[in-house]
Amino acid sequence: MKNTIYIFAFLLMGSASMPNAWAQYSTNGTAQDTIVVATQDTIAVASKDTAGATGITIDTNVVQFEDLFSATKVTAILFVLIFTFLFNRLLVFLLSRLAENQPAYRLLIKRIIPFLNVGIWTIAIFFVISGIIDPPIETVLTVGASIGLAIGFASQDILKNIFGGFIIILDSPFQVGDKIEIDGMYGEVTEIGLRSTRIVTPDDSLISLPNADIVNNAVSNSNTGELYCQVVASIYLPSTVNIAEMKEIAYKAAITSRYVYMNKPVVVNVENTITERMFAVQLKVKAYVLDIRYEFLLKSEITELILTEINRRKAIQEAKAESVETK
Amino acid sequence: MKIPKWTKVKNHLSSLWTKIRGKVALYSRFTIRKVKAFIKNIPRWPKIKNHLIAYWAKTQDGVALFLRFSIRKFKILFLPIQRLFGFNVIKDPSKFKTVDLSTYLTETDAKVAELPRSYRELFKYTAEIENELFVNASNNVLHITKAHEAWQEGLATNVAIIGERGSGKSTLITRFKTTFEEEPAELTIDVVNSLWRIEQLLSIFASSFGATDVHKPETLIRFINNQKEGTIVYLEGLQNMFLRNINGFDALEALWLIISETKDKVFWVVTCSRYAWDFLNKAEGIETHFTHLLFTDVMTDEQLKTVIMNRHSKSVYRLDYDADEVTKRSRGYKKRIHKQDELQKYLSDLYFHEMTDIAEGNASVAIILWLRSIKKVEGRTITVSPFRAINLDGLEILTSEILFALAFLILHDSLKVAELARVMNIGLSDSRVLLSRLKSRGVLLENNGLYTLNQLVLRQVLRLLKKRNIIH
Repeated sequence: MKNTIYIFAFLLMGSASMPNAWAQYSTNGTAQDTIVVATQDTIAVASKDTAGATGITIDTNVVQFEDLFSATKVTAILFVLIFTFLFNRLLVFLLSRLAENQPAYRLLIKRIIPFLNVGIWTIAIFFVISGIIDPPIETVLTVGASIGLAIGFASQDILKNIFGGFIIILDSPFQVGDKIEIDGMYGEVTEIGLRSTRIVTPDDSLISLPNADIVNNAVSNSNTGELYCQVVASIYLPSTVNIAEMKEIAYKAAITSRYVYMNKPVVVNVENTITERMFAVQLKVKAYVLDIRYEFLLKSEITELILTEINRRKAIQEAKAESVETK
Repeated sequence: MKIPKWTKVKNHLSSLWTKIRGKVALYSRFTIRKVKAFIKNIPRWPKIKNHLIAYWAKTQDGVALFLRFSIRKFKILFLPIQRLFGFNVIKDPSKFKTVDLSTYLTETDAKVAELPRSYRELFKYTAEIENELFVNASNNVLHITKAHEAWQEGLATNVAIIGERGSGKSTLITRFKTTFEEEPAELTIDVVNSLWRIEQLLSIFASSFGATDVHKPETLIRFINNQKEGTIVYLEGLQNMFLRNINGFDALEALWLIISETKDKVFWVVTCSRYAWDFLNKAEGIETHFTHLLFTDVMTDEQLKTVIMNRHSKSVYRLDYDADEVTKRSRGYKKRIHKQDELQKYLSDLYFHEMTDIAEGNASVAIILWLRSIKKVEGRTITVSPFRAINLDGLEILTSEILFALAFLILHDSLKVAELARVMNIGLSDSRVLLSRLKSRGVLLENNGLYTLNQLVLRQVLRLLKKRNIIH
């Protein structure tokens, strides 16, 4: 209990009061008679257990805060962190350039970026702890446990998101460049961060989705790492139209669009629906776009071509006239 | 007056510094004098001095050379990386400037015209070529002959010849024609301008077959089937019989009907460009209409070299290959520098290695690249420049609209302003602007309002479009 109180004191008192907290802990928390021996690097506290009748002497080393975070070390840590940040930014910039300049590998390169981010920061933090601070294992465990406990209480949601980020990176339900739909939000993934994932919607809005929410929701991925993805254009027509003719028009509209990816099939499905108490025919034209960036252009072009051709042939008017004649 | 403590300390420090300086100066003067005396006493000092001066100069030279070498190597190494990342801070020396590239492309005809007439005639890439100049890729003549024999025996065979523009489709037909001892009943229908309406198709077919009053495909089918003798029909330019437009497939659909209904009476030999074939196959599965498929743009690098050398060997000129600066610095070049024959063979191999890589099995591309590489003709010697590939990035006009326009031009082989407007669903003026921009840069060639892609950039354009997933 006493230990826990000191750990909290250590965390809450801030850097200025921390050495005092440690000093207090080192004097009060151990045995009664304490001999403090100062050395160059550490202050070794040799405790003599006077209560023990056997006369065994226990020596422990407690490193002082000033030694762990001396001015030189803090400068070095700052330098490493700033360097890592800049290096990371430079790498992301260069990889983004490379991705844009090599369209065939665009998605592959972009999906490497989150892994590199995590990897570089992990190496940097490891280097800071083991290479610069170099604390004894007891300190690492104590501080680690304290920080873990404190952060655990204070920032449950952030931790959830960070773990969610790790799960997204490892499980890969989607990658940067994919078109995904989560909880009714649809867009292209531009960044997978540790806390959140960013998507750009068709109307160019940037949405940050917390990773924890993504992990707990169903994700629909349109292209799963490929450059192409399926596009569905729906056309509603009166039930009296010549369906075979409409299907032919729809198919030709899709295959003649400049944005269509011809290595994948173009399919036209017909569904019977009721709109405003009237029977209607829904044409669903399923085609693949050659680059997800043209997704909405393909959809628009297919719709435009079909409607223009139907109007040119006056197919709806003729169908209506025929229907009236039959009645 | 009490002197402040700081002034005292300052005075003390100042006197201490003066003392130290004096001692150091004294010691240095003494040491220098001692060293000079020592050097003077060395018996061969002037000689050693000269040696040291020479050594120092050499070291300076060495350092300067090393620096120059390192900078050059760094630039060579750094440039491709820079290009890869899309930075253009340092100009790529292998890349032509926009103006140079456009000039290079547009002046092709003029440059070729400067060559001796006899030499130009040898490299004319028309269908009519001499026997010894023909390179039979994939033994296509044999395949077409066998298909014809099978048709004569009563099997309903037909042939589709597929290949890039200028890859030898018409030449194959010409070679096939020469295999007959007795001239059979034959008909050639060459579709040069785009057609996509049934009436256009029927009009051309009716006049070719000699039929009158043909308004429906069925009438033509009846007319052909009523003929006593079987006929060979060479239908050239299937890529011009459709438009990639919602109403652009009517003529083609009528053609399939005519071909399938007249198979017994007609031995159909149809030629189609590679990319139109690929598109139509994916859209309509047209390969099911043919029993034999022959590809002409599959020449090996050796065959391409033979195409060039067979023609050249018929001329009176001898060849002299030039080396560029990079090659001249290479070890391969330096090793052979004293043996002219070996050096020329080395340069020739180097040239054809790079040229066939760009030609990719297309004979006419190889021929135009060869003619364009001829630097000068002096007496009986033709000097061939080192091969330089054209980098389209230099054009700086490659917007997505331009890329789609190029894709449609490759699909249809040639298009007019109105036709491009139709396939791209754009206005006539936009279409005209697009085509004229490409023409002014030398990427397109115009002949009577018909725009075609310059063969010199065919491969680069194809690679670019494939890279962007526009042609698959």
